[in-house]
Amino acid sequence: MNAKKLYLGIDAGSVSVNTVLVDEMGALVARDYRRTRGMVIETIRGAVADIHRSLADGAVIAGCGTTGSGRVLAASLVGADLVKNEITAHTAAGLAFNPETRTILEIGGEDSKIIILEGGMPVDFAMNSICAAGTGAFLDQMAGRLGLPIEELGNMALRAGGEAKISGRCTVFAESDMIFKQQTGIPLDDIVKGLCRSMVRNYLNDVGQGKKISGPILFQGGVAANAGIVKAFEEELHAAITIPPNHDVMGAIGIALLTRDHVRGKTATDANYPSAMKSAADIAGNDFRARGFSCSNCANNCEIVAFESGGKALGYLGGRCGRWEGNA
Amino acid sequence: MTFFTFSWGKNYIAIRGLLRVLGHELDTPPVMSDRAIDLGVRESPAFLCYSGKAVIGQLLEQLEMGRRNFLYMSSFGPEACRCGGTGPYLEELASSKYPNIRSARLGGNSAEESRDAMRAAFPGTSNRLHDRAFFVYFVKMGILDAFERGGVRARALGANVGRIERIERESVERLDRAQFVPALFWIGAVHGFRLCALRKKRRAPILRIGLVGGEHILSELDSIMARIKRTAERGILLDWRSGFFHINRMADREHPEGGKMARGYLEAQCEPYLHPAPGGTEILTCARAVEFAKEGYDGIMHIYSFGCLPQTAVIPAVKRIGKDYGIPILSISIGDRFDMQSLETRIDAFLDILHAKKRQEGAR
Repeated sequence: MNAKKLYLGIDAGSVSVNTVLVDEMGALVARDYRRTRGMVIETIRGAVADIHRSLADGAVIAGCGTTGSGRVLAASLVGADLVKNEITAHTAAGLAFNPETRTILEIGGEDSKIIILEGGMPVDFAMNSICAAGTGAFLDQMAGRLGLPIEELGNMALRAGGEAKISGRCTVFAESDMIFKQQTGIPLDDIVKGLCRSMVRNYLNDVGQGKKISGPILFQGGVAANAGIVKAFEEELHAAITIPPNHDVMGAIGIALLTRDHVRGKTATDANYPSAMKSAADIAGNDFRARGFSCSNCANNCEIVAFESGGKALGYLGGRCGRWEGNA
Repeated sequence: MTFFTFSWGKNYIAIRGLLRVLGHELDTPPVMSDRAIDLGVRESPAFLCYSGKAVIGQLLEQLEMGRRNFLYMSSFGPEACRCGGTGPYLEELASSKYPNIRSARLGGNSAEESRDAMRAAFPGTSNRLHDRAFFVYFVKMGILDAFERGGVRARALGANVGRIERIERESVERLDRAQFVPALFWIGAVHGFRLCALRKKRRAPILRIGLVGGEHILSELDSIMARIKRTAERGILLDWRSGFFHINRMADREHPEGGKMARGYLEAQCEPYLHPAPGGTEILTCARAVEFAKEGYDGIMHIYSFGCLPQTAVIPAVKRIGKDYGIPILSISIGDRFDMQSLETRIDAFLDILHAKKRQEGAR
């Protein structure tokens, strides 16, 4: 009997590690979203172990892909067939959800992106540049300052009767502004609604940068769970926003789909193509660690991160010339 | 006397050649350090671009280390470049903090102005000596530029990267040591031939990308550009047509060579996008983007320093060129984020878009 082939996608981001399994048809079989809390390696290990445990009898992982800012680390840890940037991964997932998609808004923990598509093809994109004011980190910080759980912000914004004007250009200024509004006695709900609106304005100004945003518009990433932000987007753009059911793991879904296509391409020419993914026992039991050092090959003295296991270097990250990454 | 200057790629090799003709020496510029950035941010006006802050920081760092003779590049062309115009600020800042400094300014709005500025810094020297020094400077700049292009082209055509790097290293070392003009041309020819020979029987490039932007960034091939240059190893031809060498010559409005470096030609290229045409760096960026688009390049990378006023001003024009010619544009601002992962993500995603576009065009 042929084993059911599944493809593992890992999106190792700055705030969370998202892991999914998709089947040959691209359907989602399993998903996992967990915050890293500064322990990226342990989080990836835990997520992959849980995904392995969820495998049904007769199912095998035929390929693994990684994306996100920690994609190289994740690839070194688990062994990946494909390592791709998160813009391409989010595009693949968005188009799989709706092939007619024209705009993808994605807001993650520290990064935010906009992807413009035409005829099922990405034609333009942008990422946040100088600061994280238009990202999930902004909301996290503001919720912390207000002493509210982050999950509450969306509903509070929807309940608001009015809206406080809050500067969204910079997290620090926004915080000062927010404190001032609190001192003037403006209701908390109105302040939260103002925060959502300021974040959306910041995103559209800094990331959107005058790009033509047309529908269908998808909103992906963890922040899409915040109904206040969704409403603010709809009001600013005067357009309907669609939130895919698995909006928080779309990057992982995208890389899993791309991995499926990649592995299919490989097996078309080599029927015995072996996946680069390590076994569950190896991932769980190895002594994988990351170690930083300064390269002394030239005067730049770049900071390099070495991924090591069993006393051997598995790969490197960093450096301007690429001499180390070539060894990964 | 030994001078110091700032780290702007391999330009120091040409500057060293110039100073040697005048009987002086130049230290190899240090790497940009955290201390230099701190000093630059602290001591420069808030509105200054990242490059300007870096220049001021490196100057102060080296003065702190006890060096007193510095040469700086300033005011290339008549445009409102805040970084290029930091010369008087630099001198005032340095002399107010450290007495007994000696400075020399390299640059001006014409060949004569550049020469006069250098003569003022080296009293008792003749026009003829300075003309010779500038000639050596321009020849070395031109050859360095040609080596960089040759190396990137060879990478794109699939030649062995180790061998390319060895030729590049040897050629730059020899160029640095040599001073006589016939020897310089000989080194340029021999090493150019070695690079060309490497790529002869190799693959054709998969994509062609034109680089436009801040000339000082493009010339920084030792730093951030090294990363961008690596893109060529994926079989992608990167091409650029501007650099310090060109912008300095272009500042001379009546450039005798004419052709594609003449200001009239360049202004005509960007006329629909920049009118009236502003300074040299905007004109070069815009004109080269139009050229790449007309020549059917697959994409354009616009690279500039964070906060650079002329390059910021030209962004809408570059975007419009992309739209008019249906060519994807990637704008990369250097200095606002330093993590290589983010830079890699942008480049990687841009290449994915170009590949997808090419596949779609092929399918049609």
